[in-house]
Parts: sequence; structure tokens; C-alpha cells
Amino acid sequence: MVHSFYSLVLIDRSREPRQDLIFVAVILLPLIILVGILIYLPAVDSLITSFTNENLRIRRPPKFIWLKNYSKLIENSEFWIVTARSLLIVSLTLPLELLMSLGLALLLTEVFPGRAMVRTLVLLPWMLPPIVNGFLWGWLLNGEYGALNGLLYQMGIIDEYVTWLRNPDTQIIWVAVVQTWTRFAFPTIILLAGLQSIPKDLLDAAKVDGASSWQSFKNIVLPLLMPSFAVALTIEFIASFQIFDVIWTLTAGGSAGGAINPFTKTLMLYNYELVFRDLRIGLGAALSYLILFLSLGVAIVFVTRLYNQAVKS
Amino acid sequence: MALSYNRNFIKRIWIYLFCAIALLWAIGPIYWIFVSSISTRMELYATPIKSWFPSEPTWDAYIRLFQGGGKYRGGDVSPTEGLMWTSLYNTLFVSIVSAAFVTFLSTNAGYVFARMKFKGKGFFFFFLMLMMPLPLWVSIIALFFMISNAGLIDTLSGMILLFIVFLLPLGIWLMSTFVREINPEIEEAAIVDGCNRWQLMRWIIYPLSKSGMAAVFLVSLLTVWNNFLLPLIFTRSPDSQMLTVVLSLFVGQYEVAWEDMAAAAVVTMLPPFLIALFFQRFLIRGMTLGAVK
Amino acid sequence: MRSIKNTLVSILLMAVIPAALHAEKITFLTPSWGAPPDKALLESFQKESGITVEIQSVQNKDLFSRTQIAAATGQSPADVIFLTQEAPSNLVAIDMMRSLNDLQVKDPLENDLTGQEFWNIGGEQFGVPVYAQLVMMDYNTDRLKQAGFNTPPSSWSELKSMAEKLKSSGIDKHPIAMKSSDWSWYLMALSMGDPMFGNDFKPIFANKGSKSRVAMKMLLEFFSEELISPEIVAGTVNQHSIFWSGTGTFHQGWQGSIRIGNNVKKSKQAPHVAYMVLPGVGNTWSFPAAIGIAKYSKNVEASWKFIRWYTGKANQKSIYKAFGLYPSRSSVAAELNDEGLVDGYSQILAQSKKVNELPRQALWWGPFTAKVSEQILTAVQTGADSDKTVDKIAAIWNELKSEYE
Repeated sequence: MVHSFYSLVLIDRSREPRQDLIFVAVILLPLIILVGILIYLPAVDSLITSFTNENLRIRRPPKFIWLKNYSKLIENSEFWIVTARSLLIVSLTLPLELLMSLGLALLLTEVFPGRAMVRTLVLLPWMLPPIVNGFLWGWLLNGEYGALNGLLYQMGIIDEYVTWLRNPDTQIIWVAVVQTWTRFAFPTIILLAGLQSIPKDLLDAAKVDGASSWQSFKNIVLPLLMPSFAVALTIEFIASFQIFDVIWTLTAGGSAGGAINPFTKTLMLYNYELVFRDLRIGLGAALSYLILFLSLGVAIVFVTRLYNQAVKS
Repeated sequence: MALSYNRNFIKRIWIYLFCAIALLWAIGPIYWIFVSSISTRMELYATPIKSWFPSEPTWDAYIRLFQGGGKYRGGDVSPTEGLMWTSLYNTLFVSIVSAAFVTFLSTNAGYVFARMKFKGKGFFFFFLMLMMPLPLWVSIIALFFMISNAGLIDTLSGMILLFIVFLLPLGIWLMSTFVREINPEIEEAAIVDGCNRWQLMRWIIYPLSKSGMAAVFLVSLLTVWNNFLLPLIFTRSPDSQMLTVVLSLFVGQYEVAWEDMAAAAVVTMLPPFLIALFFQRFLIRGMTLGAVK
Repeated sequence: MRSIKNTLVSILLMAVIPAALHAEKITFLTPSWGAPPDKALLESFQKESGITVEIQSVQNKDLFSRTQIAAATGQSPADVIFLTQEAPSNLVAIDMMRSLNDLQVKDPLENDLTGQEFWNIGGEQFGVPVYAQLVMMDYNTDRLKQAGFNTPPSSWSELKSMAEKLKSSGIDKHPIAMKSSDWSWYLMALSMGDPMFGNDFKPIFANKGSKSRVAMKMLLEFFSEELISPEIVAGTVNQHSIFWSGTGTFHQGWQGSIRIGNNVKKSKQAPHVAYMVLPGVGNTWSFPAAIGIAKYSKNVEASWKFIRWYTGKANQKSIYKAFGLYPSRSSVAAELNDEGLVDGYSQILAQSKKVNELPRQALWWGPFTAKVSEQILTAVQTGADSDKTVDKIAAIWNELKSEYE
């Protein structure tokens, strides 16, 4: 009598198929039209732009050059360096973030007084606007008067202020830390909601059967959490792969001319450079589509593998 | 008896310990923002010993924020004359309305994808999800063209419309996941009893998806709250200006008015904090307990 | 009965409509330091002219994004736009600004508005100058005295040795507050006497043995010897916050920076900060700003009226008093000096005679100067050779130039 929570439950409605169809249409049709007009139409428009050499500064009608933009990008080593860097940041941020949010979600499902307050407080980092976030960490990590230095100095851990963001390597590490700090609330919320759907009776039954908390975690909680986990994982992957705000304000900001730190340039910064700074929107659009394909590719892999794994268990 | 009491007690200790660590990690930097907002510039420059609470705390930054100034670079700050109140209202309005719509629409669509069978279901699902990873500014030129032709630039309804569309894919995906986890026996029982789909939604699905809906609402609200690009491009005047753009005004040509920006940040964090606190009760267990009959 | 009512209505309409037509509204897109600081003044303008001005302020780079996206769809983001020195390459280049030539025929600009030539691109006047800001250097006189120097340096090598003395004697760990970016190099090259660009946008900075190469070498040495704080390289703060937080003796500032430098509430260097005329030949360049009308604006007359008021005496004075931005009207500058309101006037005057502008009118200037910063940062981080860096920069210039021509 264990329900398979992942099989699509087909409710036999052979009695009223027409009503069902109306139901589906009323709900889905407006959404599809909305998405179609406001997301797909512009997307197609920029896809077309990506096949041209449009540049806002050069005032001549854009010419169709088809796949030349794409080949120009792929042949340039910069694209690969930037992609590798984006993947590096993902590999640093994603595990950290997901483990943290999983641990937090489990912790905050426990019942204890003050739980609601704690749960809300840990969400605060996500409520901080991105521009403030960047300046905040710039101030905290500052090598001349930063708070982190002050803290470590007063605790006796260091005896001289450290310029934390001096080298590109440490910059990347700090970017991962700050990105984690900024975003971990999102998967936490999702996992918290996902944990709610695990029936308590199941866990109680397991406990009665003598299962340790680790075993019930591994065999009951984790598999049932998989769908929510898959969503959280995919979204956070996209967020860290397409990271922009944190890098901009932490390592590239403060300059009036729009200079981008070449050592922390990731895909989205490269995209910004092409679209907004160089105004080569044809090339920029092509890059955006490359980013889309890369993101989609990985996302689909994640989702299908996790879903299959969940169905198996 | 005594043994289980001890075990619970130890467990409690561990819980509080981990909570303390989590709070330190999450709130530490925020505390620094708060301190910055009540400090003077010179205190922030103090080195190497930093005071963890300013020796002369001052509410000046907050006063400047809401009173408005006009001077910026050479002297005092706060170019935000009147903008803080307006943008607070605008952001609250847009985020709450968008989040509400998204939650409602996603739950319906989530149910459809989770439970119903119809031709083209997979196609439509992918259609809705596919463009999620597309960077926003790719679409922005054409989007701007469409929105301005519809006369929706610089309007609250325009912003709401845009946010709803961009939040829907994630919302639908989340809700379809959450709805799928509802015990199907309950639904079958209701159908046998003669419920139609709409009644099913109202009496069974909505109540049982409370935590999922709360999660989608919060996620949507916070995403709107923090978004910068859409308000930048699609709003112009105080009519619809939002907080994230107003906050960027504290970056002057040569200096960042950090104390004022910090004060503005504290004010910006307050409404979502209160809303999230309110929604905690929905994120709490209640979905399947006692749901059968 | 009906005809009486109709007549009354039409009389009413005739009274209302002209009034409605008279109250025009224009929008003014500007960074926050371009907003007219004196509210009362603005209100009186609005009352007298019947024009309502709606001020939309955003950060500078966001101003460009907003305008560029509107431009791509053939629209204007506002009626009047504030133009900073990057505007020619970012706004005029994308054909977003309206030529003011026809308006000038009826209402010519006065001669005491200096700097009009900068905004005359291809024969068309695109902006009316608002203020002119020279890039200047200031320094902490007291600290220099402690190291045994009573006068500011007269050459860059002298500056370097002074800095080394300051560092070695422990007075100042990082005596030079300059950024690892384009401006620092331009500053040093121009003041060493190299005009950097010749006629027809020729990159003469790349010539063998040019002073620009010497400047680049010295700039990189500033970093390698840690005469400049490594925190600048980190990029989170700029040279101004570093200087005002107490680190640094020589500071690349601007015309007006000593106002903040000597403000005890904002700067640890107060009250010892003074301008120094740039060492060497001493040339510098300026950051002018102007105000112009957007191309597709429908309120041209009202916008022009606003512009004339904005660049008039009263507003320019209030801008100076609020932001320390040096007015473009020489008459206003003289008046302010008479009132004793201009700090360091003699140095400003001396420096203003040594100006060698950079070609911001080149369409590709925006991307170029950003890439220069990136090259310098790369050289600093990787210890690259200064000559190779200058060669790379020249290659970038030529490449961009050919792309745009």
C-alpha cells in the first residue's frame, strides 16, 4: 500500500473527457499565449539578430552573416576560457550551497521554540538587494579598513591586515563564498517545502521498525526529496553558471569606463561586454544563445538523471 | 524515561548550536550593514581596531533618507527625495501582486501537469520551461519595443505583467513537483464523491499545497524584490520606480554613500522579512497530517 | 436651452485648453549629480515657464543602457539628457541626440560658455556645456613635510623618489593613490608631455621612445614596488576612498576634490590637502559635461528653454555650491572666485592653462578606454612588460578604428 509518489497518477475520467479538456485549456492556454508572446517572440527576434552583424554604434543596416557570429565566438579562445571559469565557479559554489541548504532545511524542520524566527532570519541574505550586496562585501573584505580584517586582527588570528581580493585566484574563491551567501536561502525554502510533504507516519513507522535516523534519512527522506532537490539544483546551477552581480560589484566595479576584470570574467560578463559596452548586439545575441544551449544541456542532464533515480527508488 | 529525556536534551543542544552557527553566517554581514547605517564615515574607516558598535550611533542616515536632500557628491548625500516612500510602495505592490498571481496560476498549471493526461502535455511543459535559462537582456530590446507600443512603459501593471511571465516557468515547475506529492487517494475519493475539477482544486488541492504555495509565493516575491534590470529599463518616473534602482542612486561619481545605502538597505529588507515571517506558518507541516477524511 | 449649454461648454473649453497646452512636461534623464540641486530655483523656473520638469536619475552606466535600448527601438528615453564625457561615444554615436544647430540660430550660445567645441561633433552641436572638470592631483602637505619635502614634485621621477622616501621612512605605506586603470596612464603620459593622439586619431603614443611608454613603465613600477596599495588592484574600492580613508599622500583627484579631502567628516586627510599642478610638462585633460536634447523628443522648444535655464548663471552657481563642479561659464567662475568660494583657485587657474584633450569624440572611444584599463590591470597582475602592453593597446586602437570606419 505504498504509494508511488512519482508515477503519474491517471485518474480515470473516461466519463467526462470534454470537461477535462476545457479545464486544461482554460488554465493552460492563457499561460501559453502569454509566454509565447512575451518570451518567445523576443527570443526569436534576438535569435534573428544573432545571425546579423548588428552594432548600434556603426550606423549601417545590419547584414545577415548567419552562423559567422557563432563561429567567431567558438574559434576565439576567450569563449572557452570564460566558459571554463564559469564552470569553475559552479563547481565551487554548487556543492557548498546545496549541502548548506539541505542541512539547514533538515535543521529547521525540527521543532523547537523560536523556529519561525530563525527560519526567517536565515533568509535575510537573499533579501539584500544585489547592488548593496556587492558593496557590502567590498567593505567587509577591504584590505585597508575592512571588517573581516578587523575581526581577525582583534581575535589575534592575523597581525596585519590582508588584502583578500588581491589575486585572481582568491577573488574567485571569495566570489564563490559570496555567491553562496547570497543565494543559499532559495534552495533552503524549496527544500523546506519539499520536506513538508514527507508523511510523518512513514518516518514513525520506520523508527518503530528500529531504523536509525541516518537510515531513515537515506532511504526515506532523500528519495522523496529528490524532485524538489532537482528543481533547486537546476535553478542554482543556472544562477551560478550565469553569475553576474556578485562578480561585477566585487571585482570589476568602481571603474567609470565599464572595464571588466579579465581575470574574473565569466560568460555573463562577457555577454554584458558585447551587448552593453561594445554594443555589438549581433555577436552578443549569439553568445546569449550559446549560453542558453550550455545551460539547457546541463540542466536537462541533471533533471533527467535525478528524476530517473527518484523513480527507481 | 530518563534516558529519552537526556537524548532529547542533547539533541536540543545540538540544534541550538547549529542554529547559532547558521545565524552567525547569515546575519553576521547584515549586522555590519546595520552598524554602517548608524555610524559615521570616519568610524567606518577606523583601522586596525574596529568598534563593533559605533561609539556615537546616529540615526542621521535614516533621517536623510526620508527627508530628501539633493546634494550629492561634494557634500551630503541622499538624492532620494521622496523616492524612498514611493519606491517602497511600488515595489511592495508589484511584488505582492505578481507573486499572488504567479502562485495562483502556477498551482493550477502545476496540477494540470501533475495529474491530468492530454495530448501534447510533454510538449507544452517543455514549451513553458525551455527558455528559463535564457539571459534576460537577450529579449530586452524586442520586449521593450512591445511594451512601449502597448503603452505599458513606466506603469505598475506593465511591471506586474513582465514579472508574472518571467516567474511562471519556475512556479509551474515547483508546483507540479509539490502537487505530485499529494496523496492521490484523497483526490480519487473526492472524484468518486462527484467533485468536478474546480471543486477539487478549491477544496483539496489548495489546502493541501499550502507549503508549496507559500514557497512559490516567497520565491516569487523575493525575485521581484531584488530584480534590477527590468525596473531599470521599463520604469522611468517615480510613478513606478522600484527600490533596486533607487538604491543605485547612492553610487556617486566618485564615492559611494555607504552609510546612506546601508540605511536604505535596512529599510529595503524590512518588508520582505515581515512577509516571510508571516508565511512561516504555511511552510510548516500540515499537508498530510489528518488529511485523509 | 441646448444651444446655451453648448455655448457655455465651448467657452469653458476655450478657457481650459490653452491652459492645458501651456503646461508642458519634459523629462530629464541624468545621473544623480546632474539633478538641479536647488529646489526653489527649479520651482521658480517651472512656474515662470509653465514647463514641468520630471527628473529621472540613474547611475551613469545605467543611463547608457536605458538610452541604448530605447535607441534600438527608435525611441528616446527622455527629452533632455545629461551628457558626460563618455556620451559622445555612447550616445551621440548611436544617433540618440538631436543637433542643436537650428535652435542656436535663433538663440545663439554666449561666448562665456567655455568648452562648446568638445560637444561639436561633425559640425553639429550636440550639447551645451554644463561644467568642466580637470583631472587634477592633490596631496597631503603635512605628510610630505614630514618626509622633508616642502614643495610638491616638479617631475614624475621626483614624485617617485618622494614616494619611495615616504614608504621607506614608514610615514605612508602606500603613498600613491592612483587606480590600476586607464586614467592613471593618461594622466602620467599627458603630464609628461606626450599628446598621445595626433591628427586623424593617430595613436602617436605608440611611437618608439614616446613619453607614454615611459609613463607606462613608471606606472607599472608604482604597482610592483607597492607604492600603490594592493587594495586598488582588488578593484572593490577606488583611489578616492583609499585616499580619504587615510592611505596615500599623492592622490589622483579632480577639480573640486580637495573639498572632500579637507572635509573632516569624510576624510582622514583633512585639513592638509592641497592641489598640485601636475609634474613635468603638466598637461592634463578634462571631464566636461553637457546637456542635450534626445533625438525623438517631442518637446523641443520646452527642452531648449530648460537647457538655457540649466546652463544659466543661477543654476550653475547652485551646482558649484552643492557639488563643487566648476561652471562652464567663465563669468560665473570669476564671480564665485570673487566671493571666495573656490578652493585652490590659483592652482586650478594654473592647471587650466595646461590642457591636452583626449579624443573622446571617436566613436569607439568607450570600448577602447575600457580595454586600456583591462590591459593595465592584466599587466599589473601578471607583471607584463610595459612596452608590450603599450603595443597591445595600440593594436586595440587600430583594430577598433578600422572596424568603425
